[in-house]
Amino acid sequence: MTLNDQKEQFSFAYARAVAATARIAVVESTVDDDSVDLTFQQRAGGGIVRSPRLEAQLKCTEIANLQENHVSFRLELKNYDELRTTDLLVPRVLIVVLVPDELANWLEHSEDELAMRRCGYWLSLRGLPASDLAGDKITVRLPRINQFNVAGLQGIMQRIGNGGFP
Amino acid sequence: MKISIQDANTLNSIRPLDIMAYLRSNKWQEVQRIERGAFWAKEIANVSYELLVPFDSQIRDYTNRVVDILRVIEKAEARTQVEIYEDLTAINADVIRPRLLGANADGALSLEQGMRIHQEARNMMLAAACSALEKRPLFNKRKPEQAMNYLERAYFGIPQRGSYIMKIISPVSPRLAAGKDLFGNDLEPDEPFERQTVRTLANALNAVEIACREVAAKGDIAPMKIAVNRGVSANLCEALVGLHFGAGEKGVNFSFSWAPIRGIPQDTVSSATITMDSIPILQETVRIFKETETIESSEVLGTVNKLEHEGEMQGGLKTKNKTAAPSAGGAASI
Repeated sequence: MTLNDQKEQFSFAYARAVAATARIAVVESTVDDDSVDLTFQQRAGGGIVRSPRLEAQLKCTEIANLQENHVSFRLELKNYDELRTTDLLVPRVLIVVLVPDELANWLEHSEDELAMRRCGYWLSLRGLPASDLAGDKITVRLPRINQFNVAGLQGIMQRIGNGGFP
Repeated sequence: MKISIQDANTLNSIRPLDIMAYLRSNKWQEVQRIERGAFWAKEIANVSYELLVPFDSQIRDYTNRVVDILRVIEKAEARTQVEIYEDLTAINADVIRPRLLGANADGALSLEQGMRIHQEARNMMLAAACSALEKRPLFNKRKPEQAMNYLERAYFGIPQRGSYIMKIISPVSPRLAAGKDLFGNDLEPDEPFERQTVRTLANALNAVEIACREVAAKGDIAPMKIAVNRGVSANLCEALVGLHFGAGEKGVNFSFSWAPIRGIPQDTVSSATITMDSIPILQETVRIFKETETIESSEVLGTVNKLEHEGEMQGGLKTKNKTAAPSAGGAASI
C-alpha cells in the first residue's frame, strides 16, 4: 500500500465516521470518472426536499498551508472544473483532510478515545469561474470555519434539504 | 454472481424515460418532484426504498445517478444489475429469445449457420406478422405491406451465451389510459400491431407444440390445420425447421419477455419448445399445406388456351372451375 492509498483510506474513514455520527448514510462511488468519491444521503431530513444528497471529492494532504482564516490547497484543474459545474442534480463539495507529517501521529487509540489527526475542511466550488491560469493546478481556499464535522455536515444537508446549496 | 455495472457508456445508455417507465410498471411511485429530477419510492417487506431519478440524461452527474438507481433496485427487488439493465434497455420492447439447443456450448456458429438462422428468424417473424393480420395456412411470396414494414422496426439484439441464444427485439408503444367513452366506460384502444405479432408468435408456437403431439398420436394432419387459427402456417413451420437445422439439429426453445410498458398479455404463453422429434411433422405440415392450400391474390403468367362459358353470363368469361379475366399478353389473374 502506497502512502497515497493510506491517505485515501484515512480520509474515507474520517468522512464515514463524521457521517455515521450525523446519522447520514454514505455510499462510495464506483464510477471513477467524475471527481466524486462519496455520496451522502439523508432520509427524511425535514426540509422541503424529501431526501437531501451531497457528493464529495476527498483529498488528503500532510502539506498543510494553514492561514489565519483559510487553508490553501493545490487542486488539479480537471477536478476544479468538475466541482465548479452547476449542471448537477446532486450538489458537490471538495473535502480536504489534513494529516500530520509523521504517519505514526495520524491515529491515536486508547480505551478512552480514538483520535484521528488532524481534520477536514469543505468547500463548495459551485459556479466558480473557469481558470485562466497556466498550468494544470489551481489554488483553492477552504475557510477554516468550514470544518467537516458533524455539525458542519448536518448544516450542509439542511441547506440542501431546504432547496439551497451546500 | 453479483455484478455491478461500472462502465460509463453502458450506464449512460439507460434513458430517463425508460427508467421512469420501468419504475411505474414495477409499482414504484413518484413521491416528489424537484428541479431536475424526482424521488420515487416503494415499500417492500416493510422496508422503504427510495430513488432519485433525473429528468435529463445530459446533466453532468447522470452516470452517478444511474449507478445509485441500479444499486437501489438491485437491493429492493433482489435482482442482478445485469437483469435490471436488460429490462431497462428493453422497457419499450417485447423480446423473443430463440435458444438453439444444438449449438456448441461455447455459443460459436459458423458463418454459414449464422446467416441461415438469422434468415429463418426473420422468416419466422414475418410469418407471425402475416398471421397477426389474417390466419391462413400459407402465405405466398407477396406479403402484406404492414407485415413487411414490421420487419423494418423489429431488430436483432446482441446474442447471449447458453448454447446460442438469439435476441429479437420488437419495440412496442406504451399502454396509456385512453379516457372514457360517452357512457363513462374506460376506452380500450386497439393493441398495436407489433404486440399482436409477438403475441401471435407465442400462441402459434404453443399451438405447434400441442398439435405436434396430437398429430403424432393420431397420424392425421387435422390438429395442425386447426392450429392455423392460432397463427400456425406453412411459413412458420418452415422457419422453425430452418432454425432447427441451422444450428446443431437439437430443437429450439423460445422464451418471451413482454415490454413492461404494455404489461403481460392475457392468455399467452411466455415459453415454448420445438423438439427434435417434432421436426418431421413440421416438414410434412409444410408439404401438405403447400400442396393443398389455395394461394390467393397471385398472378399467373401463361397462354390462355381455352375459356368456356358455363351457362348464360354477361360481361365476363367463366371457366369450368374458376373465373378468369384475360389481360394483355395472355396473363390471367386467378
